[in-house]
This record gives sequence, C-alpha cells and structure tokens, in this order.
Amino acid sequence: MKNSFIKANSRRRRGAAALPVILLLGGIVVEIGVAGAVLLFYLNNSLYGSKLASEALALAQSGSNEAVRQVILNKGTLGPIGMSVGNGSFAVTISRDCVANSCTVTATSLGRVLNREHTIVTTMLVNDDTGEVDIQSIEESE
Amino acid sequence: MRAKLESGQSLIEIIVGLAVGVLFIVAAVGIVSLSLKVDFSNTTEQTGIELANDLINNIEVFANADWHNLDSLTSGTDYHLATGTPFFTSSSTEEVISDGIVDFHRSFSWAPVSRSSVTNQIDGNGDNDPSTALVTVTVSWQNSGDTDSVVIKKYLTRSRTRIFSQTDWSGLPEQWDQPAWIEPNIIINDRFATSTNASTTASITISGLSEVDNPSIQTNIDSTGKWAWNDVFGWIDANTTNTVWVSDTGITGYANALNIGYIAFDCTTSPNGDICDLPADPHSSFGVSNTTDGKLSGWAWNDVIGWISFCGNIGGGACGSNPDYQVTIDTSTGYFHGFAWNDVAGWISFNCADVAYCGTSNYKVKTYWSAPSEEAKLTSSTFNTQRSGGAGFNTIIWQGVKPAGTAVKFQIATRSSPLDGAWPDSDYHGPDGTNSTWYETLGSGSQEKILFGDTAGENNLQYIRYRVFLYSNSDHTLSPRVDDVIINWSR
Repeated sequence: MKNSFIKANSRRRRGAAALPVILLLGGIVVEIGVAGAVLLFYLNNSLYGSKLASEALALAQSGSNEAVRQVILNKGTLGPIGMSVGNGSFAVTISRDCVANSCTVTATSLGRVLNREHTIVTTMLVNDDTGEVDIQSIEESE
Repeated sequence: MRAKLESGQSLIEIIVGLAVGVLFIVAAVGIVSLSLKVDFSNTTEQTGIELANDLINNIEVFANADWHNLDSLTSGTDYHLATGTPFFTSSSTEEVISDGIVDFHRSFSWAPVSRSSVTNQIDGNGDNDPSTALVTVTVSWQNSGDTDSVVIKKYLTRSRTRIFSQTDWSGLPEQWDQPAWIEPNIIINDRFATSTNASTTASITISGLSEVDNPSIQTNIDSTGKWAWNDVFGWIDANTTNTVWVSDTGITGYANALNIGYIAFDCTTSPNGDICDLPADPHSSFGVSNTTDGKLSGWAWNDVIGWISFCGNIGGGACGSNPDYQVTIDTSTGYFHGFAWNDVAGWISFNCADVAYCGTSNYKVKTYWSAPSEEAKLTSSTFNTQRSGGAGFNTIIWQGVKPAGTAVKFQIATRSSPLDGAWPDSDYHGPDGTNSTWYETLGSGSQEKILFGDTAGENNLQYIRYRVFLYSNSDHTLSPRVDDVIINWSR
C-alpha cells in the first residue's frame, strides 16, 4: 500500500513538471526570438538611416560644389542657395569677410533627406579684383 | 484509481506541452529564419550603399583631375570606372562586383545642367552651364527574385579656376599670340593684336580723351569738320573760337569768318558778352534755335554783313513748317546740311555734299550733339588655356574708371585651334552667341558671365581673345579708362 502510494505520487510529480518546463523553455526561445526581431527592427532602421545619411551627405556635397560655382560666377554672391534633389534637398548659406581685396568666403551647406542631415563647410579665398577663387578647405561639420 | 487519474493527467500535460513546445519552436525557427533573411538583405544593401558611395567619390576625383573625363562621356549613358593608368578610366561596359554570394551591378551617368542667367541658380529653363553636371550612381542586385537598388545623385562642378589678367597695353600691336606659359604661372605681356582710335599705355582710353573732363574744351564742333563756305567772304571756322555749342534748344557762342570776323549765334554769348539787354543795341535778343530733331531757325549776327537767317522763305516771312531754305543737323551723324541766307553775301553752305562739291573741297560742319558716341576698340592677342579639351570660360571683369555717360563693352571669340592674324569679326560674340550683342558690366569691378547661348557650343574651347569697346559720353568730352581686363576660366 505504502509502495503503491509513493509510486503514484512520484508519477504525479513527474507529470506536473513537464508543462512548466516546456512553457519555461518555450518562453525563453520566444523571448530570444522577439529580442532578435526587435534587434533586427532597430538594425533595419539603422541601415535605412545609413542609406538616407549617404544621400544627405551627397546632397550636402552638391550644395558645397554649387556654392563654389556660384562664387566663381559672382564673387559677391551671398546666397542663399537651395534646391530639391530627389527625396531630399540642400540649402547653403554664405558669409563673406573681406580685408582689402582678399575675401574669405564661407559656404555652409546642409543636405537633408527626411530626418537625416549632413553639413559641409567650405572655405574659399576670393580675390575681389579678379574673382579668382581658391578653395581653402572642405570639412564636414556636426 | 487515484494513480490512474494522475497518470492520465501527465500524459495530457505532455501532449499539450509538446504541442506548445512545437509551436514555440516553429515560431522561433520562423523568427530566426526571418532574422537571417533580413540580416542577409541588410548586409547586401549595406554593401550596395558602400559601393555607391565609393563610386560617387571616385567620380568626383575623376572629374576634378580633368573635367573632360566626365563631360566627354555621352550624357544619359551608363558607364563605370575602371582602374587604369594613371588611375581611373571610364568604360561603358557593365561593372559587376560580386561578394561571393550576390552580384552587384554598378554604373553612373551624367546629365548637363542649366543655370539662370539672372540669378545663377540651377534652372532647367536657363542656359547650359558647361562647368556643372548632375551625376547619378546606381547600384542594383537581385534579392529573392526582386531587383533592389541604391541611387545617389550629386552635382559636380568644374571649380579649379585660372585667370588671364592683362594690366598693360603699352607694347606694340600685331602680337597675335600671347607667350606660352607653364602651369600655373600664366604670363600676359603688354602687347595686343589690333586697336582702333585707342590710346594704349598702362590703360586703354579713347584717343584724345580721358576720364577727366577737359575744362579747356568748350565746343562740341568737331575739330576737323568745322568749315562752312560763302562765295563772297569765304571760310567760316566754327571750332577755333572754342565757344560754339549745339544743344537741344539752340546754338550758343560764335564762329570765326576768316575775312569778316566773328559770327554770333546767340546774344548772350557774343564776342562782346551778353548783349541781349542792351536797349540801345539794334541787334539785341537774337539767337539760333534748334529742335530735338535737328532743325535750326532764327538769326545769327556779323558786324560786317549783318543778319544771317537759318530758316526762311525766298520772298520773306517766317520759317513756318515748309520753308524754302533751312539749316539742319543730321542727328545720326552730327553733320550740318542746308543753307543760311544773308542779304549782303547770299547763301552760306554748311556741307559740300549739298552742292556736290566734295570732290573739289571736302568742307562740312559736324557737331557731337546727338551724334553717336566716339568709339575705340582693342583686340587682344590669343590667350591659350593649354586645355586641349577646352576650358570653361566663366566671367569677364574690367577695372578702371567709367565716367557718367561713357560705356565699356566686350565681345569674346573662342577657337579650338590657333589661327594667326586677325580673326573674323563674326567670331566675336556677346551673350547670345552673335556679334550683335556685347558683354557689358555694371561698371568697373563687376563680373559678367560668359555665356555663348545654349547651342553655339563656343565655350569649352582652348583659345580665346577679347575685344573691348570704349564709348565716350555724348558730348565727346569723356572717355572710360580700362586698367585691367580679367578673364576667369576653369580648367
């Protein structure tokens, strides 16, 4: 009688343990899967952002090139310069600081695609008598 | 009984557990599978972006090295860059880059860009700018049967500028070519090709004039075209007294008739000063009137022969609208025509052409009033950009002085091959690509874009000459002064 109770009781315990264990393990597996999916979502977003950022950088560089061209065509250009290209746009502001006939012209070009932006700052030395343009630096700005 | 029940429950639990477990595993495998697929897709796209960035940066380097690397390619056609000598070459064959799993197809194309001639902004309806291009890079690949791609667009410009600056014209003419130079030390000497009516020193001015008004000049009668004739008393010199001035309303001052003395055209400016208000003087308040279309009327006075009528009728009477005789001025040339009358000496002729006598004696009176401004022009020697594919000519600037009423204009001629001697006038063009327009800046120091029209295709050539035109003020007393001429161009 005693043996039979112990036997039956031990079976019950074994049967009752299977479900929680599977639920626990399954939960862990699903959790890992969900975590992977969330990670993937952010990775995806990040990659999309990287693509937009590349386009924004190309637009900012376009704005920089365009600013140099416009200063070549008109040494007194003060902008603003801007235009839309595809899904994005660039906008350039120009400042000018002259000492005698030597002018330092700074063009700040902001390229933007959706919420991604890049800024390129181009510094030129412009001879105000001859209109000759000498690019001093092209830098990406935060 | 109890044991049996417990055993059955365990079996069901196991079955349910297994089922749930299988579901979990299937879901997990699905998620993991999707994750791996998306990860693969992301990795592939990241590679595509990197390839696109790499190409667009390389194209900029390629174009900066020589703009014709880019603009000599057919616009709208796909190309790729290949590593070559010295660094890149372009090729129209397709570029396929494989990472071992995916084949990436990479290419670029370019399109010309138009620009507003007013604002300089990029404008599809403006003039073609030979120094700007829109480059499009495309990278595409196959992904599960679909074609994915990355497209990046970028404006490139020809920004390496050079200048031809001429600051002295004191050398001899007929130099057809400027001396050779070695990059970047451009040499422009003091010589030029040809000039007409120009004073060429360290500056250019119209011969005989300067940018400063000459107070000693008080007449607008030409120093050569100054003679009128009368058969009785002979020559009348309208310039030597330096007082005769023709205006929209009349003639002031007095001329010198060589045999009978002064002829006064106006009582306020007679040889004896203002005699208009002398009541005892019988010839007070007289004068010769003018209209804006050059019709003279009224009276002049000479102490020997008396009144000279500039308009009237043979039988006497007022000038009226259809007089028998009248002295007129051709407003397009400034030459006097017609006859004045004096009761003692008879007709006074102002132009030999009216009596068909110029072959014998080429006398005439000419005024600068309403006549075209005096003009001088100078044509430069040939400037060689040394760019065999052609240079992008950007702007022209002049420095100097431009008094009110004067003008400085330019025309530009370009060629792909040198030509000694004079270039045809038809080669010299203004902004519309014809020789009937001129580049005219707002004044000294301002820039004028060099545009040759959309289709003329005259920009992007290797050789250039400028022709500068100087115009006096309408009184022919002032000239602009050109100190520097600067042509700005891009390599």
